[in-house]
Amino acid sequence: MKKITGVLMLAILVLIISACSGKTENNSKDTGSGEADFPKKPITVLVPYAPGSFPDNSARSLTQLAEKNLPNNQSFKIENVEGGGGIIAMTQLMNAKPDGYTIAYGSVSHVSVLPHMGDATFTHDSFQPIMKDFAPIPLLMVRTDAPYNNFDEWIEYVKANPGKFSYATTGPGSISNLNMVAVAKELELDVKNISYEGGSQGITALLGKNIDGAVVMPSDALEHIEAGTLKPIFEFGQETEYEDAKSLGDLSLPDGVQAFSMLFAPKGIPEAELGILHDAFKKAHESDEYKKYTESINAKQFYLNPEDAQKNVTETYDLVGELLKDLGLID
Amino acid sequence: MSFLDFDFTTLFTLSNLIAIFLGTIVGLIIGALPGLGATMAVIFLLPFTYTMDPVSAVLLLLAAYQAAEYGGSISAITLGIPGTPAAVATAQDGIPLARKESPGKALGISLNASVIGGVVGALCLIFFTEPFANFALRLSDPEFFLLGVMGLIAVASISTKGEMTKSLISVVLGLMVGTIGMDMFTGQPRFIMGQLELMEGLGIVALLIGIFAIPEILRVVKDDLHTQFASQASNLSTKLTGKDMKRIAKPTGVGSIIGTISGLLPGLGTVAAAWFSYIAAKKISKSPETFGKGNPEGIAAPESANNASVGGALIPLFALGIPGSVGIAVVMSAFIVHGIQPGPRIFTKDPTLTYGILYGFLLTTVALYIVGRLLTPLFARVLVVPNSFLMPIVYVIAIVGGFSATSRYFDIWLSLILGLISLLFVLSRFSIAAFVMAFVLSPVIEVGLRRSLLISGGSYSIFLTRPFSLLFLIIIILMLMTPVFRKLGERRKRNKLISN
Amino acid sequence: MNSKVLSLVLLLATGLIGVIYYLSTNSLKNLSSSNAGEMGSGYFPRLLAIILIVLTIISIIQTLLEKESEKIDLGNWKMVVATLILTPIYIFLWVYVGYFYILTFIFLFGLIYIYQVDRKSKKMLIINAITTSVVLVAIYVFFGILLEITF
Repeated sequence: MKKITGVLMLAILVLIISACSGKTENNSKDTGSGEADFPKKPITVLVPYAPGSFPDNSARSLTQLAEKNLPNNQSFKIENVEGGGGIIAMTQLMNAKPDGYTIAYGSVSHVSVLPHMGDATFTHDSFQPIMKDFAPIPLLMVRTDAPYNNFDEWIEYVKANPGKFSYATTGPGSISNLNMVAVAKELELDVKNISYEGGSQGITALLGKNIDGAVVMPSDALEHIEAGTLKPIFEFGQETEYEDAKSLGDLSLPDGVQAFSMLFAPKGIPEAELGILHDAFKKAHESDEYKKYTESINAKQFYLNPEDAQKNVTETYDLVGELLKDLGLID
Repeated sequence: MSFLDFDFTTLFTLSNLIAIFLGTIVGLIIGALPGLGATMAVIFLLPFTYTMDPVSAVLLLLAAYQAAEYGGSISAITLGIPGTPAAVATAQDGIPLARKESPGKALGISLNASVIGGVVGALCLIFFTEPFANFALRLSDPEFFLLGVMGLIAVASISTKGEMTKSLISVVLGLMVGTIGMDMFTGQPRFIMGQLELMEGLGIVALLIGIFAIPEILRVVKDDLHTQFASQASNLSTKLTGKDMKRIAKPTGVGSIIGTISGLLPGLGTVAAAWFSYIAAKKISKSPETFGKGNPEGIAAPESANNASVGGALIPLFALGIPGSVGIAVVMSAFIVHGIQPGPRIFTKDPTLTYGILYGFLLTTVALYIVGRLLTPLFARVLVVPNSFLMPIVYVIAIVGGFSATSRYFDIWLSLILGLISLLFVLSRFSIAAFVMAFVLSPVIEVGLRRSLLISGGSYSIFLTRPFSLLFLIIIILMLMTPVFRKLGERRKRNKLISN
Repeated sequence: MNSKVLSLVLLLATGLIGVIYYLSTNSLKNLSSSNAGEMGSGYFPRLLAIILIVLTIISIIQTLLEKESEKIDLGNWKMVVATLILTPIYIFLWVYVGYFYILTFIFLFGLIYIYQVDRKSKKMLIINAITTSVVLVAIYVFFGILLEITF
């Protein structure tokens, strides 16, 4: 008797929750293309991150919008495959049938960094990019009460105190680390990298005056910029809107390692399927809703078509290789 | 706008109340499942929040978080299987009290302590956000390292009698297993034995199911298969007498304060909170010798601490935009999906919403009490089921629940292998509690030490020049000296007796 | 089996783990770009391995010096062994064949069945079937529908 009440309770729970979540099917999908051959069933999107993480949120937002552009009223199904820093998900993608029903929402680290490290069986051109999505531009943050007020004064300070300026990144070989290392090398700066588990841990250490700087993504930094406790003095992009900061472009330095997100299909996917997927995602990418989303996470949109996306991946792969050799992480 | 001007009618809406109660129910169930804790509860519920309004969304998650911290003690007390790492401390006295006296009483103490802890955490969050956040910023790697070491000493000190060396071996094994995975400072994988699934370290859910659920189930199958834990329904009432409440008042207070403070510190969080308050309660107790044998104070302290730590972990989120635990990081992503940026300006930018969430969070403790009172007896009832039915059911649910956390078959195999190994170690009286504590603290200790030295350029003086670091160092020395003092005192007494 | 033998076997295994763990730190390298104060990825593990080996040796000596050795109560060891054989088969079939709900039903029903004292009782079989069904429905509703887990 007690067990039955328990099950009943569960059933009621489910009903209420599904009613609350308002997951009503959207019937206004674009069916104009008539009876297309693809897709005929839901498409699995491998997400190499934990549910609830930032990239996972982005993947969900983009696929939700792109779903409306799929022929035959079909949908995307997100599958979070964690492990091995993404190696497991990407290996799964590589071994999947190239029929368009399995794709992945990956990032720069999967195709341009991991292949250098020796644990992955795939490399930078083992996949077929579908579309380049967006990338947040890292910032070098310092405290507003630091002895330097802008980029030029900071350079002076660092040159006068070699080995003293310590900054947080998310570990050697991470995007924040590679960007800072590249700039430090170009400008011949002697600075000290301290690894943290994530951007917010670095910010905490910076606020607590344990270190002097932090290379973080804008989403981690913005609140503190507006609160006036921290400020950016360098932006790892071609231009910057911050008064006291300089950018790669200002110093005529080449592009760093961009923290881009990209959609991938297995290699050998037929042109037609690739085209359908690309169009669906491109339309979603360009929608106002998605633009608003990218703005809300302080990232910039960098659309590239499949061909240019692959070029971008290869260039980044080469650049990362050089930087990793300098760091001594690879031979 | 200050917190007193808040318009409470915006909080008591139907959708908010439904969110709080549903979150509490689901959180309680997930927390009570072996292995799955507060973090999993929040992750599971996150997709539902995307279509809700912001306040309801956040309250749903916080209610689930709060309830899961309590739920973890349910399986610890009823089945002897801690549902969360923090509940391992609760199990020390929870199991003996449930088996010897009454499971209902043990659960009642746990519920009341949890609710009080939750209220204290919530009040600290509402009224003292800023001072607590500033305090949290003063603690960094040197302090984390020392707190981690303190945690190890604390857990080793309650080891099985006469098996000190084995407990120490358990501690070292736990630390070693904790080093499996990618080394943050060099990016190299360590000890992963060719298994990419181990790159991010051993999953805590798979580990808990492997070392607590499976060996305990097998042990019951071995020894108590043809009995049932409780035969009388009267033992299952969660009602407490005034005397009980008075007895647990002090440990609950201590637990609540320690819990709130520990919650502030990322990485240490609820596990350390539970153990520190357990040890503290033992130190201030009038009958420390009954700890580990079913002393209600030993349940109240860790249970109040792990719920207080929820409020504590939210303080850095509201004050600095920094989540205090993995679970809170997931809650933060719900904020962001709804276009709210947690951080120092959230109080001025979005006051109605912010105070709505803060007061709503206080409300989750009320919901926890109500739902806890209603649901706990149902959970306690499972003890009336004969073990030959109950154990297979718990076994299957543990396996299924463990799989659901990551959807990886690897983790099921891992749990099974760990379960078999742990069964042998339990039979040989190694301390599983010490192993788990060491596993959780391993990265805190190693990273804390390495990063401290990296920041100081290799100089150990960093541990002496920082005020809190120095304070913790002194506490550690005192903790290590206590047994020596006690021995000396005993010898003096004995000498006196002889000379008399 | 007595407790002394079990302890010795486990301690020897633990010591062996310590040695293997120590040796595998040799493959870890330090970064050429590392700063002053960086102790490297192998230092902490090596320290742990040494402490473990020392503790193991102490514990082995303590165990050998122990005079009494109690017999370990094996209880229903047949049931434990049966469970330990059935579980990998269940998981193996789940992973490589599928049909999770059917398999789980058989597994749970089977476990409850072999755990009974009186296996022939019809009443027990009926209770078993009902219980197993209820648990399966609960798993389906809670994990399958509510939490959207695909098994």
